[in-house]
Amino acid sequence: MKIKLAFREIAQNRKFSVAYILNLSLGLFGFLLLNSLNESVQKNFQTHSRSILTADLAIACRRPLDLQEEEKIAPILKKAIASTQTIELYSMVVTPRGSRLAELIAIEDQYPLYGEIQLKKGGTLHLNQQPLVWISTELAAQMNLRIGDTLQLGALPLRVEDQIGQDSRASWNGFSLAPKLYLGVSQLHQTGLLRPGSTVWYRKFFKFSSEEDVEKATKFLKQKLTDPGIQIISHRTAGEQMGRIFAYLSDYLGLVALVGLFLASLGSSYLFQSFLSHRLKEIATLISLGLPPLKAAQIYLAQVTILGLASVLVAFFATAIALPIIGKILSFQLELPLLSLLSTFLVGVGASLLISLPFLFRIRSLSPTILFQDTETQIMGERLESILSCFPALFCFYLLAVWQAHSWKIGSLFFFGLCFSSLFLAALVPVGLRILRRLPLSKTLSLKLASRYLVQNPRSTLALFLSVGIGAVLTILIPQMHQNIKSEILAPSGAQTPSLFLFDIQEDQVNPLSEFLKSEGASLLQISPLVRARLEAMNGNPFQKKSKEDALSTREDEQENRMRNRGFNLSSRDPLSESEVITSGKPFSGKYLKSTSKIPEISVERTYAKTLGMHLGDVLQFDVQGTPILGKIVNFRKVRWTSFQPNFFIQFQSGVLDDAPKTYLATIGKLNIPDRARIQNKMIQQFSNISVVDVSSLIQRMLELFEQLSGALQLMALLSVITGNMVLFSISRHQAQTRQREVQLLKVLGAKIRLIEQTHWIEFGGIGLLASLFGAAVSIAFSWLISAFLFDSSWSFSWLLPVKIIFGMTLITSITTSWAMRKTLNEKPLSLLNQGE
Amino acid sequence: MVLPLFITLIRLLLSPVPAQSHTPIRILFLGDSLTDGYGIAREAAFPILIEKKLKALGHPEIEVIPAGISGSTAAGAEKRLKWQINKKPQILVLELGANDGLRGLPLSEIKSHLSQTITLAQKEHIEVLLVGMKIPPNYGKKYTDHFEALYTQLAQKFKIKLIPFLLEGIANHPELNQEDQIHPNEKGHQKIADQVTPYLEKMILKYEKHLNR
Repeated sequence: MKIKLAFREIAQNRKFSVAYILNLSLGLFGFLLLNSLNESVQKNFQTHSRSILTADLAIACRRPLDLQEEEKIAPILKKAIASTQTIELYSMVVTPRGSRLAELIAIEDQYPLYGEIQLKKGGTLHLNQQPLVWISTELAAQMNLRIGDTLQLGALPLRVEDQIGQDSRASWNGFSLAPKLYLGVSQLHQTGLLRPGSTVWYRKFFKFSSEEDVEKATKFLKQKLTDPGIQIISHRTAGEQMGRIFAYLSDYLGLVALVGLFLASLGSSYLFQSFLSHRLKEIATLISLGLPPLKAAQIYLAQVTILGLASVLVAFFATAIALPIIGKILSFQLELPLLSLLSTFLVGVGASLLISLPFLFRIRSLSPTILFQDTETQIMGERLESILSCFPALFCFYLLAVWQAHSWKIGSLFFFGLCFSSLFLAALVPVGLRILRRLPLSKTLSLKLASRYLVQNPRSTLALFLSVGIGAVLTILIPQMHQNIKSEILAPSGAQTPSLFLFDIQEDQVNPLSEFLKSEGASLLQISPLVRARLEAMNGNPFQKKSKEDALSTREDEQENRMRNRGFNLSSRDPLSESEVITSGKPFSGKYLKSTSKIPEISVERTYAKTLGMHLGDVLQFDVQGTPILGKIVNFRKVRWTSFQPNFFIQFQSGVLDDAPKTYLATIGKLNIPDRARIQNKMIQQFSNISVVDVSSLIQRMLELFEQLSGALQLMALLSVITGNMVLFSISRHQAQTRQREVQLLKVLGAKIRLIEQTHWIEFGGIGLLASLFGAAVSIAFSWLISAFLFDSSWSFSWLLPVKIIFGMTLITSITTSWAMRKTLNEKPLSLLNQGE
Repeated sequence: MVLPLFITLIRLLLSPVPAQSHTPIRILFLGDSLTDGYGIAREAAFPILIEKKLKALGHPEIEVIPAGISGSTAAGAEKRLKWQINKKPQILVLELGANDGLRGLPLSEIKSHLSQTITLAQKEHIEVLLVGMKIPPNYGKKYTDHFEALYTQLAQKFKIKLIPFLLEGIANHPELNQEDQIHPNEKGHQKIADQVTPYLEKMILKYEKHLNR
């Protein structure tokens, strides 16, 4: 019966029902889409990180594990569904034309467990049965080797069976001393290269079923294998730099989904409030005729549930259509995960119920006497009760925020940030109204009427200001955050991405090398001096640490000792490159003059400084080849490592390291494949000590992925702006409808339509402008807070974005209200009496 | 007139040998991560340990200049020595070439860079102690044999002292190495110091004898 009545209500109020479903389903669509994108981003990262490691989990050691160690790890490794091993070492590859260093990777037939080794001719996968090798294109070019040629590894001659096209592991691991060569483990044993004293890596790789907790297994193995020489790596830690970017994106997408959903809930809440304010007198009449208030509330509860369900269905349908298209645009394989469907269903229906709860509470205690009261006061009810009835919705939203953000910290900051923003905006209204009251009354009638209405109806003014303000906060927040994240993951403009990375360039080789490259049509970029030093003391306190006497050192002790006792790469660069930004402190004062007694200035990368506990003004004492050099920290820098330029943790002001023995790092810009091979080959002949690392394929793949992610961010920001504007439309429309009574009264009193229109333009336009202005200010502060404290990312600000959104929001508020008002204006004043009946 | 002069001369002869025995003998350790003490505190690396040992052996005038750079190759050795020459070292412990070998660089180049450095040292009247290295057997017999031989060839050519292999009894002993099994730990450095000190003491005694003469 109740459901039947609920359906009748829906059918009779088609416009409201359609608007409600549209509003909520848009929010749910965004929520679902973002969850799906988030899931696919996570999956993408996991696939990539597994490809980098070629496994879920790997154990690496300079020696084979002994029997005791094998027994210790057996319980975990029994759970693995597949496993394999490699033996990796450097060796000289010998051909009749000469010899060259190569990185030998001896594999079993099962290798790799994830990712792939693409071979140019297809290969036979018989590396363990026959003396065959697969060589990288670099090795082929450097040694002029062709498929079918024979090469010598130790005592064993092997035939080149194929060339490696793409290697998922190689592309990500990037930096290696020498080009790769694959052979079978059984063949390696025959080369005679594995002898006592050989420097070899023994790696074991494991694949687990998706149910297995890899991180837990990693932790277990780290506890069991206490030898610090054994490395245990899970696929998550394998691609740390990528992981950081993916984590950024995932957290960001979580926040966008929340913003979208919150906006949609806000819009739906307004629609429902608007709808009920229309129906309240009818409900009161039914109650006075004997319908129990609880039953009346149940009818509307059923109605809202049905509308929520319908919104979920529409969102599902829209997502199913949009997902393949968006996936194609973003080159992402997007799927609708079951968990996302389920959570959207719960959120959709739950959001409907929760947002209607405050109004349904009011119905439950509705008295027929309200038939003689003002509509607005009826629906809002007592302030305390209406505030208390909002709590379940707020609490659930808080939990959802934490769940979506995967973090109490991020979820709490977002939720309480929004609460604080609302309180701040709400506190502005009484101040604004007090100022308005004190202002001399304008002689223009429309202005006078508008200001009087605002002053005399503070609750209505507050509701409009708060709604538009919060709408602006959320609408601006996402594009603003998008800007920040984008600047975080994309290479800075003007930065040239390198093809080749060169190191160990001697001072006297810089000029001949530049000349050589010029003659080859390339140029040496970002030439950076590198001076090795030791950090002896910080503010006079010794920095280095000796091992504990008579104690077994733990993995952590070893790591700390290594970190403190390692050498530091010092450089100098003035001014900073486009990939560096000073985050605190002051820039260098210029070139250091030896004649002054001042301590030279240094700049430290900020996360590095944090790790080592450095502060501005700290004096560091370095030892450069037995010569002590002091430096005072004058600034901390943020380095965008995605620029792929040579960057350093510690930089001195220019002039300090001029005489110190140094080598240089440099890069060579974009080169095509034949040029790259030719230059590499010639460099080996002419500058044999200079190490050349080909980073082009690594950088290319990373840049492609960043571009792809940036596209996803752009789309999400757009969706958030659309949802924000839809919500604003609902809010404005509702506010305009609450004025029907005043409009008709003004008409009865003889006011001209033009005057009423002008009054409302001023009132809504003014409130819209001020609310979006303050909302924008709050949003900018909020985005700074999120960037600084949650994402630890740079905060970039552009005036254009908030200005565009403020202008758009003011326009939408004014146009929507004037459109809704026009409908009222066209009605006859008699409708006022009909409404009362 | 003659008597006072004679007395002054006798006094001078009888007074203890002045400045010369207190003139510091500076030993420059030019090397790579082994000299630098990669992964351990500088005071635990073998150059500083040797300084302490020599002082304990009755050579208080010894001053060590540790100039190791992790990852450095022989290519920069000559330039690095030039930078250190103003510190006026009397002895050079040249420990370079291992990184070149590990990177598979042509042996002729390593030899040439080390030759230039030794030539410069001899030109500046600095006694050279050449430290030999070996390359792990996984680099292949031919390359490792030739690499090892280049140090002997250089020692013979320039008539300088040679420690055949710095990591004798240390390489391939896990308890004396860090987890990478390439760089010695503190115990490993202690052992290196024990092995190198006798070579240096001989050179110091010879130098002191030369000064006294």
